[in-house]
Amino acid sequence: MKYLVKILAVMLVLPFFLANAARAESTIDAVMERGVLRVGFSTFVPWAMQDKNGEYIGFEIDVAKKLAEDLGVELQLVPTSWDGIIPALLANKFDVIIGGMGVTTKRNLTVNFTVPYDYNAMDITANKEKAGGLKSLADFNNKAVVVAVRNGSAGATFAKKFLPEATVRFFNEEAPAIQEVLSGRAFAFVSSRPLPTLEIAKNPDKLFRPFEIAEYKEPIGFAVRKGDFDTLNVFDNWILTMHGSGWLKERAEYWFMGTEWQELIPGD
Amino acid sequence: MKNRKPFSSREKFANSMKNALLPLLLVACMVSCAVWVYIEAGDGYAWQWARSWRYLGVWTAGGFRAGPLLQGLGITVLLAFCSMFLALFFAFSLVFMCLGQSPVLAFAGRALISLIRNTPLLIQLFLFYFVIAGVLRLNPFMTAVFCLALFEGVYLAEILRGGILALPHAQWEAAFSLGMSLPKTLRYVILPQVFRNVLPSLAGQLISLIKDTSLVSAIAAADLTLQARNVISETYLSFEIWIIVAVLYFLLTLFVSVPALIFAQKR
Amino acid sequence: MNNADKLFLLIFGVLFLFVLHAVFASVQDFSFKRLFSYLIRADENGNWHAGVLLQGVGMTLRLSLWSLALAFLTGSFVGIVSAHKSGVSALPGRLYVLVLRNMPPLVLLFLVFFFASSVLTEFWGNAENSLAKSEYKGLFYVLAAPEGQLDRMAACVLTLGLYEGAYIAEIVRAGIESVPCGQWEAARASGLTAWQIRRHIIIPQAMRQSLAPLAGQSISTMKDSAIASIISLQELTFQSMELMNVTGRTVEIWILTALLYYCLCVFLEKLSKKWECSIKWKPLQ
Repeated sequence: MKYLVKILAVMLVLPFFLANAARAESTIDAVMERGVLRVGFSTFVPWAMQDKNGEYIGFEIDVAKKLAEDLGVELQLVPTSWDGIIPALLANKFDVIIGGMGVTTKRNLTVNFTVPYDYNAMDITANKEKAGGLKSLADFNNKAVVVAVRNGSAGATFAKKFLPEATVRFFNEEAPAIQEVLSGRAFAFVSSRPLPTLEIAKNPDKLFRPFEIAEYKEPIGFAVRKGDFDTLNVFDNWILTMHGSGWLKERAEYWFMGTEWQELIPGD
Repeated sequence: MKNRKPFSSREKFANSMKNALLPLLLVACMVSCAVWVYIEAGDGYAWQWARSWRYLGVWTAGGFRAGPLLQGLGITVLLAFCSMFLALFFAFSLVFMCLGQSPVLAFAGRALISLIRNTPLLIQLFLFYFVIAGVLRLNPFMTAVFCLALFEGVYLAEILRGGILALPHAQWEAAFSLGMSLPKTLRYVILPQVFRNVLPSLAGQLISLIKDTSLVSAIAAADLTLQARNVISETYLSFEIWIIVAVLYFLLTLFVSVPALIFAQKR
Repeated sequence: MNNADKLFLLIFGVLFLFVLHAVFASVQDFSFKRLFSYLIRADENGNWHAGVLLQGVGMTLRLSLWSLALAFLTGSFVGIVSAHKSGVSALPGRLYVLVLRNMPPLVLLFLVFFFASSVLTEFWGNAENSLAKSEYKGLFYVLAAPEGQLDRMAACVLTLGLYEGAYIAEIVRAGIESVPCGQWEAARASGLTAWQIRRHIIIPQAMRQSLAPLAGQSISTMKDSAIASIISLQELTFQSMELMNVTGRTVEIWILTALLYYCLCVFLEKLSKKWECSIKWKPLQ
């Protein structure tokens, strides 16, 4: 008994002596040493999604693969739920988030963003019965209108900014939000292209596009931990190079304008 | 059970100190482990508590204005309250269905209990909201109340059934022999005793209910968890907000469990 | 069947048909073949693979079984040690139960995975590396966690184990305290030590009392394993959400997932009822 007490007393104070010094190595150095680039992402159709064999495909996956190839390391994809993606980055579960993250000033206070590698253009799809007569943004901006969006997406940011009077319902996934519009309980669904177009093509009798959202574009960039300038510099310049060579434009057109990739995913 | 020698009051005090030492040390160890994890894991992470407090609420010239987190907390409390009452109603209905004379009702009751106990609450919420509530035109809050009430009601039904069956049969027989009808027996003899016996379990279910309300964010009911997710997606202050939310849920459930503990000890 | 029964049958029949109608109205282009392909899939060569949802079921089973093992260990230990204690001595046990039962498991998982496990990140990394080189790799991947998911699996098992352990501690404590005091006194009089009394006399009797609540707790564990989807451990809920997002077929996938969970839980229920019966009717040696 007395020994037990002594051991416990030691256990009580020991932790305070064991706290480590802060890790000072930059992320890019750690990646090159390890030989593996760990990329975190979340499922967003068609940025990243699973194909029939369970492999991940999509615009973000292509970008991640090219980045790893150019760096000369292997790629490890870490699919993460949207809720936990930032904590996972900050807890060093992966090195960078390549997942369609919209750059906003508030978010920039917690993580560092690279220069944009693409822009989120907004699109809206509405229920024909419910929203048939509404034709402009101002029409949707009143309390009786229910708008469904995915929490944390570009659509949510757009809805909070440009539809402040409307009743906005935040869902954790896109599918319930779209289902809400299909069943007529929400008037419209706002998100970045091309998801609304795909949904209208799937259900042309129930959905339509009330108007084009022209000028609003949200920049998207990689997210890395703060205080890490070397990594940010490497990624920034890689993105600028890819812009210059036209590779990013070609990939964006394949995934966002074309529909050939739809045969690869399960469900039809 | 222990050998009781006559101790002087000073020796008694020393003994109780010795007995208290080990448990207190264990508790202190647990606390220091938690503190160590906080220090070690937060290493290299720049805490931004200053940005986080405003989401609880702000002091303006007109007084205290509740921020999104406190608004969500209000909805959570309202949701839990309404669900609990409805759940008690469902529980009683289910108990009378199962313990009653009609075989059809008993089968239906048991089938419903089995179905609801063996499927996750999240799926039930989704199915109810998107399939049934659409026809009945219920908004997310009312769907959440109904679904939570059904889920918790099933567990409450099991608790109540156990409580009723645990009463000695003599109670029923004595009440009937006095000429009391069934409703009177239930109201004056059976149910008061059952309630006194199962109150700790009921408090436990209320705590489970409060924790299960965090799932209704999936059908976009504006509770504490949804508001927290909203704030986090705007600011990316994940750790700070989740810690605040954990403390809020903890205080809420403590509000229920401490009185229940005191009540249980007084008996 | 008297008239009241016939009326109830009619009402329930109508309700059931209403629910069925609502379900089929919200599903377009229903196909059994497609639903079956989510469970078991044939690829181009004609080989059969487990589909996305069956892989999720496998992960859920692994998660539930390992967490239950940890939960039983922790819960039984805390329950046995804190039985019959009061005042200050009861403090550690009560504190453990109070803190863990009053937090939503979601938040607990967040705190354990993002906080506590960053303390252990290097440990898991080394474990994975050395495992990748050993020959038992395949067996480990099947039994414990597939490649790359070891740290998430470990965080989930730890969280669920501690969380359910708190409930199990209360159940075990109630079971032990329900054994009559006379048993303790008689055992003391026979000269057994405290741990011997617990092992041979108290715990066998307490188990009979606690088996039903423990079985219920195991089923709760299986359902609570759904929170692992928040840290993208690829268990059943996560896989069904992903599938739903990609294909957009919400109602069918939810119903299929609910059926899978129902089968798993009912199987566990029947198993525990059988075990309960065999223990209750075994004479005490």
